[in-house]
Amino acid sequence: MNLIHFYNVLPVPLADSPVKGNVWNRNLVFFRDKHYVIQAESGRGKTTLLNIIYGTRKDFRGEVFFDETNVTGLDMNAFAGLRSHTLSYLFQDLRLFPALTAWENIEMKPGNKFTRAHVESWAEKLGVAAQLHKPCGKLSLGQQQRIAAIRALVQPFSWLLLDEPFSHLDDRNAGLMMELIQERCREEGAGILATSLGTNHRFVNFETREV
Amino acid sequence: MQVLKKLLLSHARPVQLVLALLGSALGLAILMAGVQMWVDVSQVLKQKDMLGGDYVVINKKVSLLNTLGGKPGSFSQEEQQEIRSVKGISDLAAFRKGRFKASMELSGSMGQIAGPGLKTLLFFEALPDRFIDVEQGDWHWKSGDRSVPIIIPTDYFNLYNQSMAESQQLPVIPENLLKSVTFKLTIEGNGKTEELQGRIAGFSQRINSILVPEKFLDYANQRYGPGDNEEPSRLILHAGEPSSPALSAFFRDRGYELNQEKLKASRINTLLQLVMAMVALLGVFIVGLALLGFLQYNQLLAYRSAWEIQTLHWTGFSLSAIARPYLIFILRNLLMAWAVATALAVVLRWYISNSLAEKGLEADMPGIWPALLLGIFVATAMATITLATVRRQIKQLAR
Repeated sequence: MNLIHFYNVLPVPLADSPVKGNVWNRNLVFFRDKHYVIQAESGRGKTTLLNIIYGTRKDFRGEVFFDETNVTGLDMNAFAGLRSHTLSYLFQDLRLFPALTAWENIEMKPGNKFTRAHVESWAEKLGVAAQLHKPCGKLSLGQQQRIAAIRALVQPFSWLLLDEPFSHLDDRNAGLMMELIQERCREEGAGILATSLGTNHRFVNFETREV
Repeated sequence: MQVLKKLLLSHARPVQLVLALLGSALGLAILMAGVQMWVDVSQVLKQKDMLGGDYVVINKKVSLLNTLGGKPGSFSQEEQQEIRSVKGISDLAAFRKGRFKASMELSGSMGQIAGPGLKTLLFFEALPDRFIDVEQGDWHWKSGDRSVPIIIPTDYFNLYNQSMAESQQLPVIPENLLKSVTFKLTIEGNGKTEELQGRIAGFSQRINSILVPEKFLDYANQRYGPGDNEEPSRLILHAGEPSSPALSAFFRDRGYELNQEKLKASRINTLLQLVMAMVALLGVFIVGLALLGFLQYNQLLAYRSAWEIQTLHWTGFSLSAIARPYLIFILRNLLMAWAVATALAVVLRWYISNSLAEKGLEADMPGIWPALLLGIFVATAMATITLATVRRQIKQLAR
């Protein structure tokens, strides 16, 4: 999947407010060999954009194509398949199972192709190796965000969707995580779609889109 | 996958589940037992009463007048035609009489046990086979057969066992034993004698007569009877509702008698089947409620894991992978409920057939297959409905 094509897409909840920026209601193409950062203040539909691509929001006008495929033709199980080998998503609300350990959360990810040793080395790099065997409910938000990032990176993907990926991290840890993300995206030859509230000094060499 | 089970079923509330399953098991057991009882009772009544259902025997009132007049209480062809045409009467046949002398005595080892002298004169009648409800193999005679099947009234049999045997110090004979005994049957007339074997093919509560197959009666009448035709004095008829006012009025007007006891039996039979049907209906009702309870329990269970279901789907789990732990959970629980229900139904059935036997109503019970099949069918239906509902709900929650 090399192209994500938005054709006059507008989320229904935004239909009544004046459209700003260069995303909604436009002919817009994302290329797999590029990295994009979607920038706006809260409530402008950044997460909505990612969710429309990820198939978890259907309330929009216009059409979205993956290469030549119109996404309205994809059912829930088709999306479940895409989510295990084509689309990977670091959710803003992280969505880790609090009762399961960090390792269980990562291990159970459909599409996971890495051994425990790999995961441990990444966790080591991000400073959460000691947290792997703890229930996620017991971890700090910053630790959870790094675990959720590792979970997003263990599967194959053509596109990595990052929803405010560094919101709970200090500069140093955000930098370490960005390195790991870049490394995995090089391996997979994947494109990135990230959202940011505005302070986007992390997103070097990213094309900016505003909503 | 163990992790999915942990995530999705951790909200299971054991007490509610046990209650829902107990309800399911109880309802299913009552339904199974009710249906089995219905089958059993119909079978027992059928066996006890070969001319079961709505068969009635009528005869003319015997009065001094027709005793003196040359014509006894027999039915002419015209009268038979008239009865046949009455609305509500679907079939009719005349009792045909044996016009020969017959006697029967115990032979072989039974004769030795009972002692000599257990010999009796007999009078045979015959009815068309469609009025006889005995297994075809038992109720069969063809020319040249030495063995003649005989149906005797249950009353005679009981009279012997309950009164005569005791007072005359004769052995009590169970039904099944009597069926396996052969008697020496002697028929004579026109100066000729023939020795045959008689065997009891069954017992009738309603036909107060000793019956042999029509073919045998024809054969014996021809050889040992006077050779003329006599009009029948008793008719058997089949009516949808023999106790209906219209039919009663008709019989009264014509001076025909019918045995009121038999009508009572027919009413009791209907009543009994009604009670069984009510029990089964109660079972259906309880099963319905239990299904509702089980359904809601499972819906609630899935609903409590709404976030988990959505997150699993959002991280790439297919709907069927998410549904699988529920599927196993539901099937396992229904299987347990079904097993408990089956055990309950079998025990209940055993208890009922035992108490029926104590009341002298023992009979070849039909298998418990109707109840087992019904149980499997209902449990499968419950599983199908529950699974479909939970699948649909998972699909909604996963969006």
